[in-house]
Amino acid sequence: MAGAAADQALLDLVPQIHALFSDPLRVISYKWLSRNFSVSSNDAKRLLQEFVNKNGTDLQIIYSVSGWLKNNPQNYCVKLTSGPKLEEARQEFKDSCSVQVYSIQACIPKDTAVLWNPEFVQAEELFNQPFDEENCLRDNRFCGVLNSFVKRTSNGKHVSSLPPKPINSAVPAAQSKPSVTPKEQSVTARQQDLPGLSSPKQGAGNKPEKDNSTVLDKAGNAHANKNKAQNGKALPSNGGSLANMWGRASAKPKPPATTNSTAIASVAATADAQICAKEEADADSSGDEQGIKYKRGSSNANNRSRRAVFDFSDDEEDDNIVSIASPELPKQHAPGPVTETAEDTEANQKNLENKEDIPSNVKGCSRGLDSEFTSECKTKSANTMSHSGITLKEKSSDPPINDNKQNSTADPASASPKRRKVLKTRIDERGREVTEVVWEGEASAGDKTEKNVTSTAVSGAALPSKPQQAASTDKSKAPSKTAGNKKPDTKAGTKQGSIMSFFKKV
Amino acid sequence: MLELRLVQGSLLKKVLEAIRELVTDANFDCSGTGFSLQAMDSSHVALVALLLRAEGFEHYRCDRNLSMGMNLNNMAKMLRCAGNDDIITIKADDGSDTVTFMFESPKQDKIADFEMKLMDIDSEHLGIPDSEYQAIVRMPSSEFMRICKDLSSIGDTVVISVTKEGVKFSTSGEIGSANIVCRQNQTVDKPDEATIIEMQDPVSLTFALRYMNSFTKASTLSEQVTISLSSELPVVVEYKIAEMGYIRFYLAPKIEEDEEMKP
Repeated sequence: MAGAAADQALLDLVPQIHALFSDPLRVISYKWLSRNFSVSSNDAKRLLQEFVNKNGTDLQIIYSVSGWLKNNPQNYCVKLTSGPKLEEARQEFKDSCSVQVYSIQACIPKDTAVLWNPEFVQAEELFNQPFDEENCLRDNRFCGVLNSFVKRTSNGKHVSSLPPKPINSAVPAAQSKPSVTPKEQSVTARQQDLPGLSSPKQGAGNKPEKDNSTVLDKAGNAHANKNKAQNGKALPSNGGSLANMWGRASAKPKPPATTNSTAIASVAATADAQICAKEEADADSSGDEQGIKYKRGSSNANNRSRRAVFDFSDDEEDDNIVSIASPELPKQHAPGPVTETAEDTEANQKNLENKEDIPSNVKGCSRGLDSEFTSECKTKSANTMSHSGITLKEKSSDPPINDNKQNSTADPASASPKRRKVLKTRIDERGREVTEVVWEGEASAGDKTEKNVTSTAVSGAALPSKPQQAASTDKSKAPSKTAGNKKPDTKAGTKQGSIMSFFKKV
Repeated sequence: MLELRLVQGSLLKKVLEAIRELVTDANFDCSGTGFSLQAMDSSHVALVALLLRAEGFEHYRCDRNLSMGMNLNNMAKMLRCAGNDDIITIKADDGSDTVTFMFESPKQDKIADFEMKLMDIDSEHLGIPDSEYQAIVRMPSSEFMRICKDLSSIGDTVVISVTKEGVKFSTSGEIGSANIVCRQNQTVDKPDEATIIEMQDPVSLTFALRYMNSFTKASTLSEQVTISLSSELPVVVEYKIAEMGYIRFYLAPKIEEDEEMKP
């Protein structure tokens, strides 16, 4: 947890929240708060809690309740619920459920999408910032999720990415699904399968933690700390924009879902509940991690899973998006060929993308996963069912992964940055200024450096350079006398004179 | 403060289309006498001089001499937004770095304002002396355009020779050669179609067709083109702009490299 100084810094934010809160239409969620003031999610939650404690009477609170359901003990559920219905919502959970402030607002919006919208807009803004600009989404410093394959430097630059091999080993442990809605068959199936994949030891260790509502917070904090320590930057802005696109894609389906979710009672039973839960999970630091890991696991586990990733992107109509987001990579390694390098880069990309998750991002992934993986998952293991909720604990598996990462970090990161477009300007032998667009850097995977030469000839290409013109001025006068009689038909012997030789400057 | 109101807005549009291919950036100079422009192409082979006299504008106010650097392509883009019948008003404040084009529809039921950023352009202003030319050819601008276009499909350069018989345009290229002779032709009832040759001395000069073709973009401004040739001078291709002024293109001739040997 943060030290006293940090706490004080947090408390200093309270007046600002007060000011924000004066806008009756504003929804202040911890996510928004976290990004806006660059504090960690957990700090933001505590801040909100503080605020609620002080001004609890005149504001409406949305709580996020997470825990194991009574009626369906195998499902770990995260729910958003308004203050008055909090107790009611808690009834559905087992004893130890965690209750956190999700957002505060002057009044509960009728359209629940409003709860989520400011965050989305904010995320979009952050991702739309110039690539070189630092923001908390770029380096994902507050996500509470640690991707051990991504190394972060203190200045937020992306140092390394993961090599494919470590990923594979990590995969089984990584796969997990945090939020489960009882009704969503596909989701649950997936969850069940995933735990199965993870090593039994981890699963066992993790479970107890989960049951404790408090555990979530701790875990989250731990994650946050880890992230800070790594100070990582998830990835070059490319990934950011890609994530952004995903966010948009998933945005459409979302609004209807969210509206339902507001009604707490109905939430659990509907598909909306899943969305809601996912969002919540995503909100939870642990939730983020799960989403990411899950995906990574799927992409990296083995060839089969890798292929699934490709499909995923295709099915999700992400082809365009991918190319937009990271134009260089896709071009260099076409996804089509299943060569090692292509796969690796793909995997890297995926991981990177995951890091930068926007709330919706996770959803998008999971949706894609749902459709693609459910069948696979189901076939894999029926036993794992019991574990389904547990995935949160996978963090424990991270440390080993980290080692791998650190060694390998260099190459994956470089996959995209290796080649850069560089403008080079030189003066050629004819005195023209030539500007070339050059791909600089080591050629990766046998890429040749292509040169696009755009020559901006200061003097027209075919035209004589100035010295020549000067020389010609003398001539021009001499020939002029005879010019009338002659018929200079031959092009070959002619030179273009310059207008400057006829008129003087004023 | 500058305010120029031009009823024939299409004229300005045509001017821009005529010169924007040759010159990308240029300074428009506004003075009490008129609205003018002089600019060379990037290779300093051709020069364009435009004059729109103050009397040609319905309203002309220019408090002090003003030079406005404009990107002609951008200006053309804006002017393309004006209807052909629109009245165009050019406005600029002293010290402002923008110029405003206002387009009024003939019925006055639509008014559009386009503001364009100005730019600083270092331009060399050349003094162009009034010269006597050895030969002056006046001919239909459409005819001249056609000739240049046709010849440019055969060769890169055109030799313009003026003799007593008429004016001869000739070229040669890989596929062959071409000669087009236009004789003097003064049709009384259609002065626009006349071809008039005033010749002191026979003259023959070689020019790059590329530039000639670009000059003929101004054919929309005038039915007639005047080509003035002198062996010591650049050719002048002039399109008169009715009651307003002119647009003149100057092109340096091509010079035979072995010429000094011959005399």
